[in-house]
Amino acid sequence: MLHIENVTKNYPGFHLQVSLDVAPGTVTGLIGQNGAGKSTLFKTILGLIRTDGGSVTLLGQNAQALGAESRQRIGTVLADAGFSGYLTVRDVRTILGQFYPGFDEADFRRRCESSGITDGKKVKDLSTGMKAKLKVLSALSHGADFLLLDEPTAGLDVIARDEILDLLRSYMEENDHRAILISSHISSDLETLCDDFYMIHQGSIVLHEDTDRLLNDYAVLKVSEAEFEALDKSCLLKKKKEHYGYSCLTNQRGFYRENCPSLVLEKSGLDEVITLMARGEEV
Amino acid sequence: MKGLIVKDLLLLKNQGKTLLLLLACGAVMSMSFEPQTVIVYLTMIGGMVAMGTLSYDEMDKGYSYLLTLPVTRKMYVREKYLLCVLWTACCAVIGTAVCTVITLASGQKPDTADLCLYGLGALLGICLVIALMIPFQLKFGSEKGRIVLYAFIVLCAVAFILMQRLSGAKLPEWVADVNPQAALGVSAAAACLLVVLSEQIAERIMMKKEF
Repeated sequence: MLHIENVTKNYPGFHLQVSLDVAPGTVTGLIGQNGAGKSTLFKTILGLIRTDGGSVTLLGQNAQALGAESRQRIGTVLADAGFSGYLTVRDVRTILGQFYPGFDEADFRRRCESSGITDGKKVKDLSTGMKAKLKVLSALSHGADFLLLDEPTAGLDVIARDEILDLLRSYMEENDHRAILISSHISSDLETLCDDFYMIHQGSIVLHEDTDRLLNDYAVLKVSEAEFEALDKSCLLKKKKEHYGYSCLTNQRGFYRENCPSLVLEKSGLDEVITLMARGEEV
Repeated sequence: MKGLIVKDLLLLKNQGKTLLLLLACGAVMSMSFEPQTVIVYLTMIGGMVAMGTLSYDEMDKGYSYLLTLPVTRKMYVREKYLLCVLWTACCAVIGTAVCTVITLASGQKPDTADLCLYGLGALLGICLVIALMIPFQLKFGSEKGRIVLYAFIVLCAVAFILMQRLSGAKLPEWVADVNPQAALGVSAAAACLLVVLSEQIAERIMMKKEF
């Protein structure tokens, strides 16, 4: 569905260099700190910025030269951009109907109404949450094969986020060949949705892992300095100095559970992995 | 392209109240000045309002989102020119019709050919502005683009005045004898050429632009 091969983009003080794949039938999460390069990567995929090297293949075509018909097969949410605030929700519906032959007007209207997004309201007058929801509903409205979602749940409360995640799950269940690339700073959203993750840090992919493996095999060891010195470090990915000694990230939880049963070993969530991968030191 | 045109027409529709107010101003103006003023006024307003859709697209990083829709950059530029020229042409026709009605209401017989010349002249004038403005707006953004355009116009005016003063040139006598219809025909051809040239430049600007 999406194949990115060593794509590079240079800005003063920032260098993006990424390889990434999204296979049909999968939901891939893109995680990383603010400014890590997530939005730049989305813009690269969508052809909004030129690359300095490498290639992006989207739906089997060069993403930079994707035609209008191929774009009908994509649904997009951008974190900080959407339809003009001076259009009404009704206008958005009309426009989507003109752009996408597969636009399901009745379904879009029903979903908007059930979310309290009323027809006559201008986009600029919608609440932050409603705007975010309208963007997601627009991306889902035409049966796209591939969704590119940059921070689609930003600004939404927990209930609204859950509704959006349910919509995305239903979208994937409808067709085996669909795929999603999604970024979010709310890790709990992604943990329950994604099949695999890429972590981007300072413009480079520093981690690619299946969700099951990430949640089952990754763990954080909390050790004193003396314990750290005596520790077998062959399976540690990162260490971080703490007031008690070190917190260490491993992707071999079983190894430390069996060999060091006396040590404090906590299953790591996505947040811990992000923090240690971004702020930790090499072991 | 249909989706883009519909989007722009809806944006223009949402400015309905402003347009009605401007129309009312035009009507008042035509009572105070020559009725033909309303043709130029409405055509000018129409062109400016159509070009304003570029500012709406630019607002809140709208370009980024628009270009994720089934739209190519070339398609976007072509639609913008099409919209601006056709919308301005519609406004020129409406202006000519309003002027005809005002002339009739004042008990005079309108000179249809003369009014049509006014309408066409106004349309060509605004087409020149469109041809200048769109590439500037795309290159520098709405705000900066406008400033750069004004600077460009002032520079041209200053250069023209300087040239006149330095050469002491006056308009040649034959200019007064030129047939207005023929002059309009030549102007129309020149305006078309300029619009096409401007569109090609705008396409190149858009292709290079990053969002």
